[in-house]
Amino acid sequence: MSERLGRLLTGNLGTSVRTGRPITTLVAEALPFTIELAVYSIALAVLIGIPAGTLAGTTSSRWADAGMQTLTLLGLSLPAFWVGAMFILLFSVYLRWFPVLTYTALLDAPLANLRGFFLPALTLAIPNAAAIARMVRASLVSVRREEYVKVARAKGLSEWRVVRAHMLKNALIPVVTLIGIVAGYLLGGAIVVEQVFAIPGVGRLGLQAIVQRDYPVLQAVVLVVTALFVLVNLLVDLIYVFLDPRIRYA
Amino acid sequence: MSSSIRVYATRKPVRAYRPAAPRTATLFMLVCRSPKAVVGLLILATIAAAATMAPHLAPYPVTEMHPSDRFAPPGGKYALGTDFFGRDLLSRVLFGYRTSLLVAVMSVGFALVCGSALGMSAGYIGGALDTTLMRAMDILFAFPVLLLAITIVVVLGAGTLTTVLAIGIVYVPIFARIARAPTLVVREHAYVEAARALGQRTLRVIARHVLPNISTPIFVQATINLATAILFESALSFLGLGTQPPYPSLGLMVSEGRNYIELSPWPTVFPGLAIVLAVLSFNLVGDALQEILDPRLRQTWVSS
Repeated sequence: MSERLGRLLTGNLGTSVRTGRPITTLVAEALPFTIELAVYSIALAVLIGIPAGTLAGTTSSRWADAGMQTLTLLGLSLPAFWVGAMFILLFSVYLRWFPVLTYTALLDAPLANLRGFFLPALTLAIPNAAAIARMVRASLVSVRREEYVKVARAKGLSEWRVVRAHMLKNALIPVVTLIGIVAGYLLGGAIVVEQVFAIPGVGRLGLQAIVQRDYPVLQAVVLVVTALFVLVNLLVDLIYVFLDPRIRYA
Repeated sequence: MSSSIRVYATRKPVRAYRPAAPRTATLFMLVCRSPKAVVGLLILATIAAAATMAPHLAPYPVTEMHPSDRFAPPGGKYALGTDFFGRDLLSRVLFGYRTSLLVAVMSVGFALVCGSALGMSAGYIGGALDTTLMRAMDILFAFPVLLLAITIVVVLGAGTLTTVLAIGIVYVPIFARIARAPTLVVREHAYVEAARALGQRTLRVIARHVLPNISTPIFVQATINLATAILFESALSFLGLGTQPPYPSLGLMVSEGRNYIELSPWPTVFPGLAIVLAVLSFNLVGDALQEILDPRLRQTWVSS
């Protein structure tokens, strides 16, 4: 046990029972795919979710709000593997807008890489965008009647400035928490999406390890996933300080 | 006024709205007034009826192959078309719903019973039991859910019953937490103290006095988890770890259809749509229930 921990500290995770390859190499190969997918899909989720939630949370039209609420519920109801398959069918097979299942390295050909990862990232982003939109709406609605919003309006600020500088800034704190949790899970590998789009990431590595009963690999995957989860949550705690100056870590 | 109002008691006093947790009759009226709930319940009732009646409704036996009619398009002899083996898709979707709903209801039922029992005991008895149980739940929570479910399935062997158990175990900590928090509040109330003073046994106090007053959030959570359980079951089946062929499961159908998606998209499209419809209807009902039962959400909903 202590020997194992000692090896861990030097970055040696042992060797795979099945392939005999060092696990450190296996994880190092899989991690870039998973990290890129996670970052990409969170970026998409934020880009879709925050404007959608802001619209629903600030509009005075009950229909727009109800429509957005229904849309986000639909987004939460879509199975990722089916959406992925439909995206491949529509955009890769019929329309040929995106390449099928080819992934180039980010640094070699950044544009081709971003194009190749777009569909899997979007598939992953949909439910998260919906969750973010709902959270943004709920927080905006809860700050809508606060005194400082009334003050901002009374000062004659434009509606856009009231929403952006006064309401959104305060509403975003729970949203950042949500994004942190989502990021933590995504870094654990999106097993289903990696499977649908044949991306050799951490999720697939874990799935293979389970199915082949390659326990050293599975242990390493769980260890790496947990470490990333903790790291992301630490980052989120640090981001709070920027969003809310009242939060200080001594 | 129902005493369960206290579960939802917030910092602000409840103002002139309706009672926070309505009685059953009021709840029914509120549900009827929410378009979301009505639409969700209607779809749900249709799906449940179709799944129950599947053996009578299905136009063809579920595993019967029609080699001359492979990949038939929707319409004509086969309402939704056929798959690679020439099996009728409508029949398979109907039977797939049976599997999905059965797994969802059984796994959520399992999690609800075990989780609430654990959460209530932890919250009511407290002390070392509380610490031990809730830390154990935290450990379960820390696992990536799908990885945990897959591990359980691989250890026990793939199959419909294993899927129930895998999803159920993954959901237990959620219900334990949902049940524990209000138990801590209810435990301090006078009527619980009175029951204790009368000499009632712990089990009886929990069952007769605690449970009825914390059941609302548990049932709302159950509705939402039924939706995610259907997604979960279909994902496991999609990965080949749930229901085994030739028995129909919606996730498995998508997985099988995907291999021939360029030849015919229908075997992939319809089972997926069927999943979306079921999950969406559960989500609609769950969302509406949350709005109705949480006065803070309802406040915004009424005044917006």
